[in-house]
Amino acid sequence: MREAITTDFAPRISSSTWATPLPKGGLPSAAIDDRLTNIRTWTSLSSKVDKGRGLPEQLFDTAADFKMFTSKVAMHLEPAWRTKLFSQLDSLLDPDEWDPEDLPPAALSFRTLLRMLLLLRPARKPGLGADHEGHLIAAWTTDENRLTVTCLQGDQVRYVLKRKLPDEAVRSAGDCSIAFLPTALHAYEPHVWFE
Amino acid sequence: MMPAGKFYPKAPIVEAAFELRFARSVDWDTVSKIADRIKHQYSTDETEQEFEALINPQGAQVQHRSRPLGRRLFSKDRTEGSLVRLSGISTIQLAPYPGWEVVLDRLKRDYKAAKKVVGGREIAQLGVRFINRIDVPVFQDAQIRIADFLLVEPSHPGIGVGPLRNYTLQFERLLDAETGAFVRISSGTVESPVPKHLGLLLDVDIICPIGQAMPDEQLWNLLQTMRIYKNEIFERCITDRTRELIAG
Repeated sequence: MREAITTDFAPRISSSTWATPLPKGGLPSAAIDDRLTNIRTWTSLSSKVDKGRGLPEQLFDTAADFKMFTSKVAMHLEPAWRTKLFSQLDSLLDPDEWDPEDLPPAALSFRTLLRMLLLLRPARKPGLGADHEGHLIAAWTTDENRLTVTCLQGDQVRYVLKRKLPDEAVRSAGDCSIAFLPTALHAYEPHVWFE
Repeated sequence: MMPAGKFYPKAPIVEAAFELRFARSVDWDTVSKIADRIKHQYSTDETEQEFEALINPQGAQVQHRSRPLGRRLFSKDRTEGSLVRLSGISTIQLAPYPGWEVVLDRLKRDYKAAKKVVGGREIAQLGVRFINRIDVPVFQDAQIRIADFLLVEPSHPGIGVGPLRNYTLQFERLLDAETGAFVRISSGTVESPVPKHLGLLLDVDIICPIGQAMPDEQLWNLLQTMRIYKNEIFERCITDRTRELIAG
C-alpha cells in the first residue's frame, strides 16, 4: 500500500441539503439503527449478555451499563469528573451496601441524570444516591441550602429544594423536564449549589 | 516513525476496532485456549452464541440449536474489549479513545497469545474501523446544514419539501489496486445522547485483504499505513466547523 491517499473521490456537496434535530426516541433513529446494521453490530459487541443473574451480578451489570452509556458522551466530560463519577457509581452499587429489597437503578434514570448534568454543566458535581424504586438521585448541599433531583425516565425529573434567602427560608418542589429545570430553579439562585 | 493524526481533545470517536481475521476458521477448543490466555486482562468473560430455530411445517414442533461463536472479554467499565472468535480476533475500544498506540499494543498482546495457540496462521484480512459521532449543537427548531460539518452527504434531485429529515448512506472506494485495500464509509443522522445536539455519524472502515501468513513486523507496518489512510480520510470528510467543535 502506498503511504498517501491517491483516491479522487470528490464529495458532491449540495448546498440545499439540510437536516433538523430528530424527534426524541422517534422512528428515524430506529430506522437508521436497522439500516446501519453493520455499524450497530460493532457497537453492540460491547453490550452484555443477560444471564438472569443474582443481585451482585445485576449490580455489576448495572454499573457496566451506566459506564457504557457514559462512554457515549465521554468526549464531552472532563476526565477527572468521569473518574469521580465511576467511583461514585461503584460505591453506590456496592453489593455489600445495597439493600436487596431495592431495585437496582434503571438505565433510563441514569440516562436522564447524565443528560441533565450535560445540560446544567455544574462546576460542583452532585452527590449520588438512589431511591427504592430504581431512580437515581443527584444532591447538592451548601450550608443550609439543599437541592435534590430525582431522575425519572425520559428526561423527566422531580426536584425538592430548601433555600436560605436573606429574609426567609424557602422550600419548593416540582416535576419537570431537564430542559425546563434551569428555568424552574432560576428564582432560587442555583449558583449557590452549582458554582 | 509514522506521523500521527491531529490531536483533538474532544475526538468524536465513539468506537474503534482492529480486526485480524484468519483465512480458515479455528475450532471452539482453539478459541477457548486463546481466550484463556488473555482473560486475566479483563473483568468480564462472556460466550457469544448463535441461536437457530428449526420449525417443522408438518407440526408445531420447534427445534432449537445453538453454537458458540466466540468469547467476549471486557474491562469493568466495558470500554476496552477483545473478541476471540472462530473467524479471528478483534480489539475494541469505546470512548474515551486513549490513542492508536494504546489500542494497537492490546492487539499485539492478544495476537501474541493467539500465535502461541495457532502458530503463524494464514491471515485473510486486516481491518481498522473508527466510528465517529459529531455532536452538533442545535438550538430550538433551528436547522443545520450538513455540508457545514461533513463533506460526505446525500444529494437528491429536488425531492420533497423542507429540510432533510434524516439520511443514511454507505459507499466503498478502492484505496490501493495492488493490495486491494478499500474503505467503506457510512454516514447518517443519529440521535445524539447530548441534549440539544444532533448527531452526525461518520464511520470509516478500512479493510486490507492479505491471504497469506505474514511476519508480525509486516502486519504492524501495514496497520500503520492503514492508520495514515484513516486519518487522512477523516480529515477529508470533516470541515473546519467540525474541527472547531472537537478542538475542545
